Amino acid sequence: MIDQDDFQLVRRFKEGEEKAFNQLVLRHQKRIYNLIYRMTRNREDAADLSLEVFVRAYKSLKDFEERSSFYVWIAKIAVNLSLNFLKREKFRSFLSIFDIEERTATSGSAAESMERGELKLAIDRAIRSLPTRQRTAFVLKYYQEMSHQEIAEVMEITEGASKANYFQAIQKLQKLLVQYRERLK
Amino acid sequence: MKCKEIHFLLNDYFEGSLPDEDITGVRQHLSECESCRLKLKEIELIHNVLTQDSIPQPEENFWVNFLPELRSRIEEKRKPRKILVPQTRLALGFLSILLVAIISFQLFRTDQRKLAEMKSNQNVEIAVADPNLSSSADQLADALSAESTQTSTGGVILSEEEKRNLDLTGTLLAEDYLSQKEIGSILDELSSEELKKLEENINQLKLTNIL
Ligand SMILES: [Zn+2]
Repeated sequence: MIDQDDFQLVRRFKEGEEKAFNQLVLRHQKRIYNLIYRMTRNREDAADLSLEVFVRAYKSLKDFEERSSFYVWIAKIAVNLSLNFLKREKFRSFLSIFDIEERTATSGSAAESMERGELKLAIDRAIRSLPTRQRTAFVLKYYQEMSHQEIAEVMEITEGASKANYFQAIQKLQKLLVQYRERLK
Repeated sequence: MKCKEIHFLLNDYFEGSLPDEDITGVRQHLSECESCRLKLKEIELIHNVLTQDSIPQPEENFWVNFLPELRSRIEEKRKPRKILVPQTRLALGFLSILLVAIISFQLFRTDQRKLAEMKSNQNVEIAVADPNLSSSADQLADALSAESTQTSTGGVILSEEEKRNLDLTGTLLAEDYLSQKEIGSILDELSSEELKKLEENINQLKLTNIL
């Protein structure tokens, strides 16, 4: 879905109206936060990276060419930042084999994990175990309700590949979580 | 339709995004096939589970402060970044090269098959490699000569072939994991104490043995 209001705001920003950018931020900040949370599974990281997404967007908005909706464009920035963040986290845990103090970014506060409960943890574990492509396609389709065409644009893959990744993600989650459900009974 | 084909369509069927022409076929099959009906039940179950996964909201003032915080970050980015003193930069560069080598070895050990594939596609892969990495062997040589005149960091001697391997696995790293540049920037974020400790620990390893 192409939102004409977003295009208007982008054009006004390009013509020098700073406030138009604020409007774009207010329109999309929460959905971007949700997207990044789904990718990183951590509240603080999602908050920090959301800000970073809009910093990058601000810097490169002049290159936005209205070939996709503004949201697809900014979601692409968010996905790339999230994936890069996840790679870095992986590297940090790799560094820990050299006995470096590891940043416990993914654990969250004690109160938070109390709240989370067992089901939440199971979902957490299941989604974390998905390969990044499947995870991305799943988050974009399932929680962000994007079309496969939009996902294809965000991930720079074909629509068919998006469908396949999503299908594989659902299959895998089914396996992981149905087991969990049965154990609860 | 066969069960396998149905399985591929069932999730779309459940989500209501299946084209009309497929719906009749799926319904027909479901009325006749117990195991696919069970599969549909499973899908329903999984969707119930997944919709219970709520998103924790950020701290109370986060959204109120979002725009001001964003604006200050944008301003910050406009200022020139602090420039590292050359010596620190050299040490960081050397460390990151060592790490690339060690990670490469880890990858090599845990993922031999993939590396073999990489080798067979070597020319293609190197053509698309991060330009920062294409000269990693040269950088390593630079770092090594600089290192020998500076502090002693253990005996690190690489043959030409090992350097080539390093280059190759560095490429692998850039494709699947982190580029040397990214590693450098992560090391940048470590405190000087952490960095020193890391350096000491790495120096205890004999790189020649690893490679
Ligand atoms: Zn069947």
